Amino acid sequence: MSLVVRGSYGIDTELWYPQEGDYWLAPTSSGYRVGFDSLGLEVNGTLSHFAFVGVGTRVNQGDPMGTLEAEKFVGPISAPVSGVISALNDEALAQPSLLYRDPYRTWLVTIEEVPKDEVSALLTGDAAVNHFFERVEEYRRMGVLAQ
Amino acid sequence: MTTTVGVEPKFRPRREIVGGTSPEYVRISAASAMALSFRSGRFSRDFAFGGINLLLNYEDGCRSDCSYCGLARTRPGSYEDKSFIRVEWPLIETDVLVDRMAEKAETLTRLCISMVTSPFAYRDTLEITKRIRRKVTTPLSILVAPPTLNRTKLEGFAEAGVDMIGIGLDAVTEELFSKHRTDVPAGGAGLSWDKYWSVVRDSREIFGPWKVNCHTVVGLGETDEDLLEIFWRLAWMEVFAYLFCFNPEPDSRLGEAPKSTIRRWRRIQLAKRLVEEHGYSRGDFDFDASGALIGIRGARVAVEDVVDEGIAFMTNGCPGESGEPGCTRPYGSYRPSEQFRDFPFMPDVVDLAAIRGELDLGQLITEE
Repeated sequence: MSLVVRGSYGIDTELWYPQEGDYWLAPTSSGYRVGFDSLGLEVNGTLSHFAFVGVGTRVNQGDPMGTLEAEKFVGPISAPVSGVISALNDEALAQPSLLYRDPYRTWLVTIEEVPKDEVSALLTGDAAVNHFFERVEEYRRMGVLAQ
Repeated sequence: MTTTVGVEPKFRPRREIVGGTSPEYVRISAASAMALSFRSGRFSRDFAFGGINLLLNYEDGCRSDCSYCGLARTRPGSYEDKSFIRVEWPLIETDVLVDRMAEKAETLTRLCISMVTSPFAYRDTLEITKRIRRKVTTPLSILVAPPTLNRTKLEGFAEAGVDMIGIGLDAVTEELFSKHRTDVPAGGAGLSWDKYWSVVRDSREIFGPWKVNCHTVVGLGETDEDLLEIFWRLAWMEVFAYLFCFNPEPDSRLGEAPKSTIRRWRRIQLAKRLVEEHGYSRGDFDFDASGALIGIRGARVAVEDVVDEGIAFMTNGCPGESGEPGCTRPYGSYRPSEQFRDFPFMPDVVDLAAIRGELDLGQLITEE
């Protein structure tokens, strides 16, 4: 893991990031593990409950693949890439606090059969870092981040 | 969508805040912490929120042991770890909180300090009130702990700049009050039906008409008739009844008790509005032998107008400076994934359509 931290927020530069949403992706032998980045764990308040579509479900990029619930918020979890949901991390889903202990290693779902053009559009390295901290500023402007 | 996991919320401590006890430290509600940017987060629906709720903090917590309360003495866990209305209440240094409230004063609509039953509660509430009043002019209520008070102390609150008093009666009959609050495992800590009403009367005399409110909870074993009786009694006294929906606190003695059905809740909300704003009297309602509301006598169109107005289904809370909703407690008695029990904003047309379905007025209205 190689973290770039500014203020209270950090990004792991060894992972891949979609241009929309607060997720990270990590390649596996057959697909991509998906988790929340540190902003995804912060902007909705303390997360308490998840529900995902079942294993084997095909999802399109941007469409809901689940829902999340926090203290004062409920909303969809959008698929960061298209593909087929091939695994769920039951341990993390049953105990969301695990996500906060190690956000960049605690995955939520695995997606396979991801189209190549969507993979090539994922951000890495400096581009990912810049995009991440731009989003921090955007959320600050929205007033959803703690001072 | 196929849901695969369904677990009850388990909230983790977001941030270690080293702190102490009131008056130097105070807890604030999760929504207040978000509104004041002590915590990150947002609401599912976009609405302005400026009702800030404070809660006294002591190492030994609240001396009361109410069956339904997250802060109850015999509920497992330390006071530090206990949730209240099912969410965390972060601990903040009082002076830091007051400065932040002053910084965001334009967005604030109503402040409220909730006392707990503690020998230090009056002294500390007064001190916190004074610190707030030195820097913030937003209207300030106190949700009082009657066993800690007398008339002189209530006058002290008024002199310090408090404009409204709330009394958490919660259980609406003497029998239920005793069962849930007086005759309890850890002892009643001075909570008695008579003492609560004595504080209601003293507060009404000191603070004036419509400057006092009583919290009334739906779902503690009362009948619909019991609730309407209390609405009439309080309206006659020119005291507001604020309606709350029982929401089981995990591990409390009522942790496994059911909430009221949405239909019962909606009908009570409507009946309360009809009593308080439209002068409906005992003769305008029918109850069955068990005290359940089975009929509203009146013109259907008039009752439906009250439904369509939407106000009946909004949060009952102390108003802001200009009479607008001040304390709106979003998601206070329901999870964000559940229906709004009380709306922290005016329900929109979609909300009202759902409310009409939930009310299921059907044969309930008996036109005369």
